[in-house]
Parts: sequence; structure tokens; C-alpha cells
Amino acid sequence: MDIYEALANKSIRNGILRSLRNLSPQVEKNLQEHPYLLEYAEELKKAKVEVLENLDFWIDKASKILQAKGVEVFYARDASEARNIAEKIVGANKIVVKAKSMVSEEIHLREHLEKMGNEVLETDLGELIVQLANDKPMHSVIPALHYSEEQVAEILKKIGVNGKNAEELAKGVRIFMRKKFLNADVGISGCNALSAETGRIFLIENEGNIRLSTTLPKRYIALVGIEKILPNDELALKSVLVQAAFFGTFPPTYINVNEKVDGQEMYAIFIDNGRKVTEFREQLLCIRCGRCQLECPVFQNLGNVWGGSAYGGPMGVVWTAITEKRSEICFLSTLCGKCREVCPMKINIPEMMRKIRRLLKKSFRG
Amino acid sequence: MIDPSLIVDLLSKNVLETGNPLGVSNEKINNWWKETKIKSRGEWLFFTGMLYQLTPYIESLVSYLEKFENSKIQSILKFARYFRFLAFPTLKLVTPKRSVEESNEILKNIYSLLDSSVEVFYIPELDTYNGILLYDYGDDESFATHAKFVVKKLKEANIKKIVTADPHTTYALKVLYPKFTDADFEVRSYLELINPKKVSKNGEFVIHDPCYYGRYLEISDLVREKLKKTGINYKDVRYSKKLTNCCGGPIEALTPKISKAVAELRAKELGNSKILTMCPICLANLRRVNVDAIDISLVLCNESGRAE
Repeated sequence: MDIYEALANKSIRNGILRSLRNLSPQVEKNLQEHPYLLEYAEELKKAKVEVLENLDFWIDKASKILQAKGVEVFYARDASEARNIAEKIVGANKIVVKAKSMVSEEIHLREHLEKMGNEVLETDLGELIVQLANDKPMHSVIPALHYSEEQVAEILKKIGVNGKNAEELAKGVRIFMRKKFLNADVGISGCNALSAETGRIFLIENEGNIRLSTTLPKRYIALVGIEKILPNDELALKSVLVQAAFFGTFPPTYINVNEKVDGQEMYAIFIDNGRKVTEFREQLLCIRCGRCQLECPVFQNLGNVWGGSAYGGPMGVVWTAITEKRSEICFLSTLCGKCREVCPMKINIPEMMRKIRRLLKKSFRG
Repeated sequence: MIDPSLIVDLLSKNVLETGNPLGVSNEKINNWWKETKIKSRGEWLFFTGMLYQLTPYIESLVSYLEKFENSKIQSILKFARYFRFLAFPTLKLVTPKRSVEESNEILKNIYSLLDSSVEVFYIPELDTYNGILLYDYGDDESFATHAKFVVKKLKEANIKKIVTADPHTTYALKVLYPKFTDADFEVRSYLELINPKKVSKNGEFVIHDPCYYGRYLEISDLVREKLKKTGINYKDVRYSKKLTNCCGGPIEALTPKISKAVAELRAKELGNSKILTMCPICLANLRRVNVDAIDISLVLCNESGRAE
């Protein structure tokens, strides 16, 4: 789908506006009822800035604590390396249950593992719908927001799930997934925050699928974008609380705190993929709440189609410049500044959009 | 999307060669003051930055670009860089006269509102395009060159205080020029300086805050204070002030279709009341989706069209 097809696709616009109507007042309510969340956000930003200024130190510290706990740790310089590492851990002809993770989208891990002969299943309902439809997540937190109930019913028939309404369909998917969870060889998740103090991985969710994906299989792989490292548990917890509040669901239904447990092999793959050496370091403060996407008037019309192969919208344009070195899409921004206004980290996305343009300008004929 | 390199290169060349994004001398588009009793001395120099004067022509251009965008004939546009000299005469022919007249009327009203509030003066030769599009497109080098040219002229004329007509010019002169040049002018939007009187306007208006006033310069509350003094019946929508939503105008030259879709969303949020705008780009882009919009300066004045 290109940007003009997206523009003509009313379901994208309607889905985004519906989510915005539901979530935006919730964000306001969360911040009014829990004003300390704004202090958490400020504290978090300060800590993240400090970590990013000395990233090698924190990667080393986090790696050592994970290794001390029995986790096998890898460092992937780019997407290809990350896929190869995961491939070696997973092997072939396995059942893999995967939690929704934007960093896995970024490295296109699911498709790669499938090519290796594995059965890979997204366990988040929205992400599963996107997988079955062979589509791209339309929002970083709400991947299937552009599908109607009828369309979802049609898509889910591919896995033998039938139902007359959302409740029946969800129940059918739960039954289908339970079998997969119980038989899974490998579980994969992303990481919302990693504590360098304890090596604990913090993950939030509302469906409960992440805890099943990461605890039931004998082998667990955590994909960790290197910007997710925080100095301690307290900051990691605050990070996921701020993420949930600015998305609009606070408190989140589940907060998972994962670490190596007896009887399970655990692997952590640190993913660089353009992060460590980037001209857009400020974007690494992003906690992926997805609020800038919903609030952006261009994203409201185009969804994640305005973006690279994984990330879209205001934050996605900059993430795409970091991870894919693709940048001409920055010219679709109006630079209206709404993204910066609503961002919990107050990331100056418009200025980075301009910076991308500035770099591109050098390639114009002049 | 129209090839950004084409738009950026044309813009840079035109501004650097003529001081104007359309590649013409300012005299050809800057005529509002000819029917106004302007003062040549005073405390505050009125500086329009040419945005109100340019907008009617830009809108005509955008209506043509929209026909090319994402069509089989879009590639023809790459030849536009070789026919720059034809652009303005053609644009002038196809630009509605009433749009030009309205822009002139808006500037006359702003000057009149200022004239009844502060010691304002206007020197047409000093009024120049603000250069903001160069900045927006990331051409900082050309923006700096142009800004230095503008600042030099103003400094040579011993200008200290500048009052502007639109949010883009205000932001350029107040925030960007000091970063890119040695400018140290005191800069205010006209909406900050005027003392409007009671006016008799029927109906309810809804305010569309431009992004630069709402978020970048944060003068939305002040605008409402001024409106209260006039007795105008206005209302706010959920997305106003710092959370205002864009009209889509800033991307109209690169992607008129998406720009229009953004305007449609904003128009829906604003509802059915008459929309008050404070920026020529917002006014023009919202009107592309057939809404009833009016520049705030036309409302702040009495029926005679002039401030008392």
C-alpha cells in the first residue's frame, strides 16, 4: 500500500480517529488523577539522557548482570546479525510463540524464522490479525486498528476461528493459542525496559499473552533495543508506567518482570541497528507509547503507511532514518509540533525532521 | 508526493535571486499600502514578511500541483525548473483577483488596528519575504543567507522594533533570525499590540489557532483576551491553543492531496461555526475544503472595515 492508497482507505483514518477518541481523554485523566506520572516522565528522561551519553558502559553493565544470572547475551550490530543470532538459537521446525514487539518488526524476525521452517505465531491478538492478513502493524501499540469486526472475522477463519462477534472471536483465538503456548519450543518478546541493576526485563501488556509467551516455553529470547537499558528497577518500572499512561491504559493490566528462572534457557539479544552511532540520538529517548502517532494529523490520514518497513508516523520517520537509513518520507510532515507537545519525553521530532531534510538537501542538485 | 528536490531548489533559487519565493520583485505583489495612509516614521515598523501577499498566488499554484500529484503526468514537473521565468505572469493570470484584494484588505485592517493602538509606520522597501519556507524545507544555508540580507536592510534603516502580521513571520523574526543572524529586534505579533474596541458582529465564531501561535509562540490566551474586548461571540474546540491541530498548509506544495485531507480533518473538528484564522496559510488551506473562514483582522474591525 502506498500513501495515496492509504489516503483513500477510509478504514485507516476511521480506526485511528476511533482510537484517538477513546485514548486521548484517558491520557488526560491518567495525568490528572496521577500527577506524579509527569514527575516520573521527567526523571525518566534525565536517566535516559545519562544512559545514552555513556551507552557502552550501560550495555556492558547490563550484559554482565544478565550473564551472571545465567542468561546468554548477544550483541547484534544490525538487523541481519540479529536475525542470524535468533536463527541459531531457535533452529528449524520449531513452534515459536512471539509477543508483540516493534524491534522484532524492525529486524523482520518473524518472516525470517518462518523461512527457516519454523511455525511462528504472534500472540497479541492485533498482531496475530496483522500476521494472518500479511499486513503491516498500523500503529505501534494498536496494530490492527484499521480492521472492522467483520474483516477480523474473515481473517481469523485462516486459523479455523469462527465467531459472530468480537467476544466469540477472542474466545476462539484464546483456545487456538492455548494449544500453541503449551506446545511451543521457543518464546520471544521485546523489552519495554531493562534494569542494568538486576538484569530484569520489564514488559507491559493488557492481554496476558506476553507472560505465557515468555514463561511456558523452555527457551526464551528477549530482544532488547539498546536504548531500553535503564540504571535500575525503579526507573524501569517508572518507564513502563509512563508508557502505559501516555498510551492511555493506566495502570496496565499486567506488568511482567522477567528474569532467568530455573528450567528455562534464556537469551538476550541487544540490538544496535543504527542506534549507537546516529545523528538522531534524541529519538532514542522514545518509550514507544504511540501517542505522537495518534495525535498527528498526517498519521491520522495515512497511518503507518507513512513510514518505513516497521515504524511510521512522527516518531517512525526518525526511527526509520536511524534503522533503515531511509528518509525522504520526512517531507510529509507539516512540522506542526503536535508530536513534541504530546510526547512524554518532549522529543523535538519536528527539529529532527528538519535535520533529516537538511541532510537530504545536500543530495539535491542545487 | 511532488519531488521535494524540485520544490526546494526552485524556492532557494527564487529567494536568493529575487528575495521572493515566486521569483518576482516584491513591488509586483505588495500593493496594499498604496490605498492606505501609511506613516513613514514611528516606533514600530510594520513588517508583513510578504506572506499575506504571496498566499493567493501560492494557492493558485497548489491547485495546479494537485492535478499533477500522483498522476501519470507528474514527471512533467521536473521541467519546471527551466521555465521559472514564466511562472509569475502565468500565476497572475490564473489567480482570482478577489483573493488578492482580500489579502490587501486584511493587511490594511491590520495596519489600521495597529495605527489606532501604537505608533506604527511602514516602509515598503524594507518589507521582504521572511524566508520561512527555506527553513521548513531544511535549507538552512539559504535561509541564513536570506535572513542576513533582510536583517542588514533593517539595521541600515536603524529599525529597533518590528510588528508582524502573521505567525510564520513572527516566529522567523523573533526566534529564528537571532539564531541565524545578529538580529536583536524587539518583535511582536500585531495581535499582541492592538487594543481593539467593541465591534458589532453577529453569529458565533470558532477559533483555529495556528500552530506557531498556539505551540511555538504561545500567545493563544492573549488573542482570546483581545477578542473578549470586542464582544465577539467565540468558542474553542477540544484541540485548541497548545493542542491545536494543523490546517495542513505547510505541506500543500509537496502533497496538495494530503494537505487537503489534513484540512478536512481540522474542518470537522472546528464544526459549523464561522472559523476565525490568524494566518494566511491556514485561511487558504481550510478554504480548500469549503469551510466558512475569515481572517481575524476582518472581525476585529468595525463594519467600516477600519478600527476606530
